Amino acid sequence: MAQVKNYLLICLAAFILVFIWFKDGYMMSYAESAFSFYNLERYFSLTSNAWTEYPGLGSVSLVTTASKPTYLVLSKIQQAGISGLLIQAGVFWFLLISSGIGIVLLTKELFEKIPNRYLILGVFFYWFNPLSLVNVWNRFLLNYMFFFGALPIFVFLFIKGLRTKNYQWSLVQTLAFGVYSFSFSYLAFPPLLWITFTLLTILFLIYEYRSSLFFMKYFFLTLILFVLANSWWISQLIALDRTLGFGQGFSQVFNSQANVGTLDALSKSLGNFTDILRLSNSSFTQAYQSFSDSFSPLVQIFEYCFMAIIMITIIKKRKDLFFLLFAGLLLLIIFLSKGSNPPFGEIYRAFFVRFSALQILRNPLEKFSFLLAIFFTPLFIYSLYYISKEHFIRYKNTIFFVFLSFIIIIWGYPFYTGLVFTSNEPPANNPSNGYKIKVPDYYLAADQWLSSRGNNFRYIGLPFQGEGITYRWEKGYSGVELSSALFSTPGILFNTSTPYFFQLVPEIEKFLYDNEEFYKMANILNARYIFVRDDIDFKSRKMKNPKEIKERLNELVQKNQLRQQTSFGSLTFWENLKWNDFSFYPATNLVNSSSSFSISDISFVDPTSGSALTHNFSDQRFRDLVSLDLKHQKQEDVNQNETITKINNDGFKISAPPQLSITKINPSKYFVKVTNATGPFLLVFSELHNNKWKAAIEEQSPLQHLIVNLYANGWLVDQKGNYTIKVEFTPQLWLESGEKVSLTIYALVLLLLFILSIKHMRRKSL
Amino acid sequence: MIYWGALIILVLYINYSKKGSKFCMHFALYLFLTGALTAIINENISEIFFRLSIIGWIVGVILAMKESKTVNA
Repeated sequence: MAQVKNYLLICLAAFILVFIWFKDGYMMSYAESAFSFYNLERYFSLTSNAWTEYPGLGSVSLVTTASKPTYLVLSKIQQAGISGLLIQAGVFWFLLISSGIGIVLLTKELFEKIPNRYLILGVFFYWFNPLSLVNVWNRFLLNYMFFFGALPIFVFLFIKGLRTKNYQWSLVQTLAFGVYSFSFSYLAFPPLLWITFTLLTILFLIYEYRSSLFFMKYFFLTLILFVLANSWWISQLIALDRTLGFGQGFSQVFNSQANVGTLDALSKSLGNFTDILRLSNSSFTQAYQSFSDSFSPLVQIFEYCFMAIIMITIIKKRKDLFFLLFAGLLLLIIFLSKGSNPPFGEIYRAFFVRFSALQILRNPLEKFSFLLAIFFTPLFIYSLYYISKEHFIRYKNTIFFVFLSFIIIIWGYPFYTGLVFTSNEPPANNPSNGYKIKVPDYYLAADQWLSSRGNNFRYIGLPFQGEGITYRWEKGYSGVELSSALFSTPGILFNTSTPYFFQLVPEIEKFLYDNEEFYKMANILNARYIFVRDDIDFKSRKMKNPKEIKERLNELVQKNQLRQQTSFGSLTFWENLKWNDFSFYPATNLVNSSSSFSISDISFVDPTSGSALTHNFSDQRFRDLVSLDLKHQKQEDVNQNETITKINNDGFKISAPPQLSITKINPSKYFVKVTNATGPFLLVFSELHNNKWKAAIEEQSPLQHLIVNLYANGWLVDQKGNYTIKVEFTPQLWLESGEKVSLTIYALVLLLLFILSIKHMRRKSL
Repeated sequence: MIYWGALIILVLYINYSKKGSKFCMHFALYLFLTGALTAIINENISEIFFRLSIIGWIVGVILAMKESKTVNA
């Protein structure tokens, strides 16, 4: 009964918090958190395949596929008519409850005799401690929140299994992995979870060596079930080196040199014991100077009391091996959280350099803070209870209420005032705005209009710069561009560090000003529409003035390249009059360049005349397709970087291109029906180049694959007549097989649990 | 290097003076409390106390585990 009361109290407290956060009726988003609740169905489709058409020119989905089941469920709820606002509030509520109940169960499992009120204190401690405040709530990344909500449940189930020596808990754990699979969409969390499980297994091995065989079996059973049940997204992770396929592999992503520098810098700024031992994150105190200054030194000293109480209890209970081991685990995590800082930081750095996969832990405090909170919470509340009971029995109520008040009033303050959802940059620095967003209605109208025009083109949204954007809306936004949420049509609205994309995108605006034939660039990108937005803070983001861009686009209207089409609120659209569907096109006129990336080469290429740009093309069988060779030569004169020599191919005769008819199965798979092919041609696919894109004529071997038009895929086809080419992003096959394995495992686990529970009930009735 | 030196001195002292985990943990606790009090004056000084304290805790907990295993045996 008391347990039920606890759970009801957790639900109520979580409801009050969520009500305060969402009472004004605005959804929230910040930084890289995306704005998925605005259109969950779109995010479901974004994470459903191994290849996604966003941002702009396409990208590999990788571990974001882990969020697919969550988006599937949430999108169904949205389709049923529940607003994104309510769904976001509901998800936050669920995660608060889940973490709260998890903490109660975990603490009860570790310290059975602890009174209920201390368990509730533990819940508030876990929710409100400054590390959760900064790394989870203020950071506002949904996968972080999921991991925060899931970790107490995961750790409880694992410990329960080890303590009861019952494999059944491993099956329950597997189901929990499925419920919280969203948390695995961040690459660092699965290893972090398995670091936790490994440490716990070692703890039990030391504590009860006699049962070591069971502990080892339990650990490996859980690991195998984890891998099998999550194989749909793990398949993408295993193939990471291959699926990146941009000519750079795992080793380049985890670049030791750069990452060691990052590790040292982050350890120096965040890994000080003066902060960690009071569960503080110095970046918060730096960023929120005005708020954190209101914390008096007394408050700071009080924060050290949490650790001091644990330390005193360790001394008192040093003969209790389990408590000692658990406390040792906490000390180890504190030690890991400081990264490469002294003392003995060289040990962390040595592992970091030696094992490149560990480099995802280059921000140690950010990652280990999750473990710090999960091990600190039960230890602290038990220590508080133990010290009060054993040494201050007369003042135990006073001590309890002093700590409860501190946690709720001081630590909870940013939560119930909403300050937790503010940042130091506008408009989120204004508490009345914070992370709240109100997307103007004209975005919905613009999106619907774009969708009504077809699904075989892109748009270019100007001005753009890097990933960040600041919108001047009623409830404005500052963070990573929201194009994936705002538009169903793929388009180029920002630059990001995707290979080829990051080189090409900054050149688009330059090309607009420097070249009189902007339509060539637009056609190469298959961009039918160009729009300019006035509702952004272009000055703070160091972007071009939208007015200037409009003037330039109107000049191109005079030259019959563009037509001003329509406008929606602050969005004005121009149509590219020379656009055709260039998502796939046959090129029989190749412009071959000696430079791997020279934007000026684009001025020689016009997809409307069946041309495409290749780089150092030397295949003799297709040599007759080359109409022009561009030789780039570097000049010593600093003002003239290079000169281009044009060499016309005298033997070139333009041949009639075949007709193509495209069937799109999903963003990772297409069938291209070729009719009337009279000679060789280059099949251009205007999606970001990746060497895992394969094309094959019916059951023949894959066609030769090239980078064309500076970013796209091209295949050399030398077959006459009528036939079908299958174009496929091969990791999709891994994903589909992985999904089958995962579904089978979940079905088997459910069936096994069902059989076991029936057996258990029968045994009870006997 | 300073902290490796501190660790060696602590281990040698405990070994020769036959002090147990209780001494080591108390030593670490006082260092921690000193660090907490000096934090309001100068965070750099308090950081040194905390680092020394953590070294004490590492040694203390390992010693206590050893003692606890001996008791259990």
